[in-house]
Amino acid sequence: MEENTMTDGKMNRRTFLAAAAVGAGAVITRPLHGLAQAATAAAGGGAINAAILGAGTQGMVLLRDALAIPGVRFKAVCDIWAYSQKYASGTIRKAGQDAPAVFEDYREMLAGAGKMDLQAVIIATPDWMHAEQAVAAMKAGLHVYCEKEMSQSLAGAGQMVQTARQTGRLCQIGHQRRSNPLYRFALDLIARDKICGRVTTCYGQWNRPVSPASTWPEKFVIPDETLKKYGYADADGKPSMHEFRNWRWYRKYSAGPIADLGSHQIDIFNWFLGAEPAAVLASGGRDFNPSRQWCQDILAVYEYNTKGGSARAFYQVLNSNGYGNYFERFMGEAGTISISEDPARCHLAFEPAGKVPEWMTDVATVAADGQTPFSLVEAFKKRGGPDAEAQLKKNIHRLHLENFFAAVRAGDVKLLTCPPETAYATAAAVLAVNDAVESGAKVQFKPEQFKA
Amino acid sequence: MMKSHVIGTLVAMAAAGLLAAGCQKKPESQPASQPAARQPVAGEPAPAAAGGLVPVEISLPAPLFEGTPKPVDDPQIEKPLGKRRPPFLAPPGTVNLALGRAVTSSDSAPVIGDLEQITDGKKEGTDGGFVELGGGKQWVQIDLGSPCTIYAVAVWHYHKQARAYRRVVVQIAADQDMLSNIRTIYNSDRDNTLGLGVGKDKDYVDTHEGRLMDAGGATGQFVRLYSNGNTANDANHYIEVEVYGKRAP
Repeated sequence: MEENTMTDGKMNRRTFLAAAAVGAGAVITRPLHGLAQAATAAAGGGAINAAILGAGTQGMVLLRDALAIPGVRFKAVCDIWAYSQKYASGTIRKAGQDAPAVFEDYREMLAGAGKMDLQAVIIATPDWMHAEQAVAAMKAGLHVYCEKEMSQSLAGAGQMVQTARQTGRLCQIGHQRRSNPLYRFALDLIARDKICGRVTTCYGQWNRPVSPASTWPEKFVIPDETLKKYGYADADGKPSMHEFRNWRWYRKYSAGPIADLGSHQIDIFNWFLGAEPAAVLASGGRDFNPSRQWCQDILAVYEYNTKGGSARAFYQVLNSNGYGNYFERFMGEAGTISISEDPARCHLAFEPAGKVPEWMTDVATVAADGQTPFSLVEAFKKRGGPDAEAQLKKNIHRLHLENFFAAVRAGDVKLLTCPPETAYATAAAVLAVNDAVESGAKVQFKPEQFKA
Repeated sequence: MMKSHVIGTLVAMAAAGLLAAGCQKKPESQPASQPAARQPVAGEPAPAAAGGLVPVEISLPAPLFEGTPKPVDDPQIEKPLGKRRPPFLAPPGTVNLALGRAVTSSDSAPVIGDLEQITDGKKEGTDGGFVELGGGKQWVQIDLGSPCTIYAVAVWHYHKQARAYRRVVVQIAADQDMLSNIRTIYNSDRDNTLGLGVGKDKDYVDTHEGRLMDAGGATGQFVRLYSNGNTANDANHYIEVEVYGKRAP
């Protein structure tokens, strides 16, 4: 694997943001085109005909961002909810594209993929359908962008990895931080420039306030027979619109908050530390809503054996208190980097043993945690190349979608920033937290558990 | 089934006290012909009745927080109040004149939702509760049916996630073409993108409380609300618009 050429924090534009940390643990990436180049590639070449499968809240975020990428045309919408069908197809038409074909059953959409000349599908359905639908889509010849968690079970995730290999179709998993230029900048500061020294402690959190159940308008109730056909029924077999709208609460459809939210950030622990965890212990609570089957709060401690020595990562996900929101933090004897999809939470502080690089001395500082660390955003603007500010203005999911469509155009799996092998390793680390909570015991990992 | 959430109500607070004139805003260019409504200082107790004014009761939907909003970090956006909005005071007999009234729009074919939802009295922010208009500059307009004295306009754009709508302008006029006796009661269009004049009002993050804009007793039959996208995307949303006032005699 070729080394990047950044020295002392200075990025070569051509090497910056190299895509393809193929396989978990690959920290330094070979010099591929950066995200700016990926955007150019995504815009160039012929049109890509795509479909959106699952047009709920997250699906609509992805659809809007994908519609902003030149050359991506949506030919089909698939969702079991008429409301989402209407919303997605209306959004596509409002974007100036032809009215898409609308499907309720994804199997019918895939059966017509050839006729519609579909090349790619974005999957944002509830987690329990990801593996089945992604596998079927790849077998139908489509490239797949699938939301995380790639599956609520490792068996399902493994099927996705195997199918991608067998079919040669590209499969990008929605850990979108891996295509975020600020994250890649922070990674280079940590892993290559050793600006924090040896990182021994990581911290991450995603805190949200107590929230009510999602509701639905009476005129858009899904008929019972449809709910039942697609498996949205309660423990007694009664069709349940409530479970459809609140699927993240239920074990049948989801792996809970640690997968919904924690998966993004535990993925960053693995990525930045260049290792998978050796063990995890965890605790959780169900205090506010007895109908939630998963713990609303989970606190987990991972142990890592990195190339530099041992490290520990504490992660918490709360659905009982939103204070502090979401970020990840990497702490070494020389400094601390805090990073988030919220630019306001991205900064860099030095310990007494740390050394401020010459190029950073005039970078603006920010007030945070009672201190005045350097702004990571301002540091990136200074060292991230001429298109740094333009990259920061893009929506966070758009960058990941650009990477996907660029890879599809190039027909090169190595360009993907989050191929299924990488996401599988993350899922193995994440899903074990639920086991640790329920057993009350430390879960030990074996290296082979992270390979599909 | 759309569940009916607990309705929060802005009610009168018992203690008496002077109202802060600095918080009042009169419409441009025309003095109010009726007793002006008054908006007390945030956090200060409002009198149950002061100068003949009484609190306007505004029902509130349940607060929501879904998904991960795009970070809202912009000096143009005012800081959150951090507490509940104080009651709005208006002359007795003030009602929501917009309820059930006809709505028109620059986008006659919304992406999702129907224009009549904007005056149906329902303010729930969940899927199905909002109308989405196309991107860029868009407006909705409410015909109150007859000339009215308007003390306040309240608008709920979208409160499922934290986001701020850009270049919000609210005008009152006597005619449907907004040509006669135009009154601007809110304008956050600082660079005159909409071509309606430069405004000095702040952008704000929508919440389940909506935004209440003091109309100062302006007279008119038509209320038009503009926006130009939001901090999450370029679309324009409306859940509900309420116009508080009294019909002109």
